[in-house]
Amino acid sequence: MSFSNVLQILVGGLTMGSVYALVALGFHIIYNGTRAINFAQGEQVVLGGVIALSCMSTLKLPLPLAFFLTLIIGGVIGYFYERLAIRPNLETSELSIIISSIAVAIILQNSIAVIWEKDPMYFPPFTKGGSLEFMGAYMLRQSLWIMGITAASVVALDRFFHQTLLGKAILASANNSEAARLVGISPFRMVSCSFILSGCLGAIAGSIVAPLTFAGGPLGTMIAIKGFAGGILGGLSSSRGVVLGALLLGILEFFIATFISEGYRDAIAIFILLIALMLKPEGLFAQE
Amino acid sequence: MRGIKELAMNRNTYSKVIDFMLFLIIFLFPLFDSNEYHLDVAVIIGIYCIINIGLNLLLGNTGQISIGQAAFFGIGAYCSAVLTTNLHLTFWLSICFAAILTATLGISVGLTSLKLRGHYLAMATLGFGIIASTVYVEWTELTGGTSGFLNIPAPSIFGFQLDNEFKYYYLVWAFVLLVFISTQHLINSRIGRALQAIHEREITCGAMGINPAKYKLKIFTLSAAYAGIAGALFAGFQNYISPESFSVYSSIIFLCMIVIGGLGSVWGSIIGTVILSIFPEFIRAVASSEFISPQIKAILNEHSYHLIAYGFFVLIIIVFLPEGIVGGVKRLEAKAYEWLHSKQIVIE
Repeated sequence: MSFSNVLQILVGGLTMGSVYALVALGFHIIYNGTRAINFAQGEQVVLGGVIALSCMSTLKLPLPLAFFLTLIIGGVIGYFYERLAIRPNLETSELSIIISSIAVAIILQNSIAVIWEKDPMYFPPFTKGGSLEFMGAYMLRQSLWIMGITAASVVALDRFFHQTLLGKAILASANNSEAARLVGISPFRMVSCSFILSGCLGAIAGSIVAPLTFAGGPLGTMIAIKGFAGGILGGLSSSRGVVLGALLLGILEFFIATFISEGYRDAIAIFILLIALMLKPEGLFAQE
Repeated sequence: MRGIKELAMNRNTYSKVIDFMLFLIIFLFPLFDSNEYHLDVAVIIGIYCIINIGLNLLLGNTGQISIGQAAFFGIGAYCSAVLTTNLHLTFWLSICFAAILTATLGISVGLTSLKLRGHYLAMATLGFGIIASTVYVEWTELTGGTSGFLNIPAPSIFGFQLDNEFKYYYLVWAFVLLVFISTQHLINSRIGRALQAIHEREITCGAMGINPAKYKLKIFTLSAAYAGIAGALFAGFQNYISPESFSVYSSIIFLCMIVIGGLGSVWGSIIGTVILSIFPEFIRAVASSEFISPQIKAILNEHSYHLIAYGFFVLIIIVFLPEGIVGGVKRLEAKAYEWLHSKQIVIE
């Protein structure tokens, strides 16, 4: 195992890990607000990819504009998703929220197949050109975009939660919704905001990963599972934890695929994750 | 008017009569509808019912979530397929071995995940499901990989060939009845009450001398064994099995079925399974009926509209009946009772 090998694994792992991190952050935000798992998160990612593709090919928008439009559409879909499917069950049980989200995942996945195509579609990389070489390791240009945009999103989200009034209100409501209600924060509106945010995150993740995985197709489930696994590995209740957990999972996967077995990659990665879960059930990077 | 009161007093007998009638309908069904395809669907429903009764016992009565139930189902199926096809064991023995194997795996998964609950348990069982489905695909020498395990012999019991849907229907639903009765007894026994107590107040239970870990492990094992038996029945019925039937998606659908039917109720598992299995068939029947013009038919057949409809169907039920269908019926029953009280029809 040479240095360039290690570097290659790090680059590949961090690229996919970044996508998982965005998905995991979506899980984390919804988990904080509702204590439920949002099974539609993966389909929201796929949706982001196909919407960005349509913005570029059908509306002929330039990439940055298409990206922002996708972000907004993702948020709007998140809003309606919450109002129609989640709000009615918000006060019954987490399990009914989970089932709602499964139903929405099925609807989204098949709507994408009906409106766009069943098979994945080609999505051009953000910048053209061959891969970059750095100390013997090769890196796609898109990898840089993915890592950069993810890092920017993570920082922006952190700022939002700790420096804006709305962000603080969401955190307050997530921590203690009774007390938050007493000081005039509507918990319903905060859950709504959480879903808008996670919709935006899904749209970002979908449009940046599409050049690597193509847009559309049956990818959603696997991405959602990986994001969730990464989140659990790091500790679903901490935002720093989910990002670190997801990055670690990405690297772990690449390591296994390179050195052990490509076919058993997911199985071994999940197995290691389960062992980590047994040893430290609250997550590797959970605060407290 | 006394009749109503007496019925209320003998709620137990009353529900037993309903159980009996419903199972009578189930067992008379093939005599009135001998359509092969309908029976085929009904056999699969019966197999899913066995899994879901176990899953509901786990989630509804003990509060442990599992998104890996399809893994046990698959292990049971492959175990039975390998034993009957490669080793030429009898079908009965293969069912027993499938149950033993899945129960053993259930104990080991249950033991390792005893500390976990809620989302962590969901992740652990989901992970187990993913590992199992990777193994089905990758271990090609044993499972045949993605192309599936072919030529599983049709089962026979004591020399009696179960070679058509009609005969198999009775075998599967006899198993459902068996599982139904034993689960109903379990719920109404000391163990069932202990489970309910664990579900509601786990720490208090410890203080009362109920060991929550022991009970949770037992139920986890039992539900795994149910899924294993269902898998063996599935393999015998299908003649060929492939990894798709045991994917994570199936586990998620099983979860939907029991929540929609009603958690903590054995009938809830059966009703949820029946409704969510029949709905796609119903849509398919509508799409191919003669009232629809061929143009629309072509569009409907080309795309996965039926799955979108399925998603909306699940969503509508869960939004309007968050406690599931059985919960909704119970609420209605309570309301009717209240109304009877207010009209003084029922006299205390």
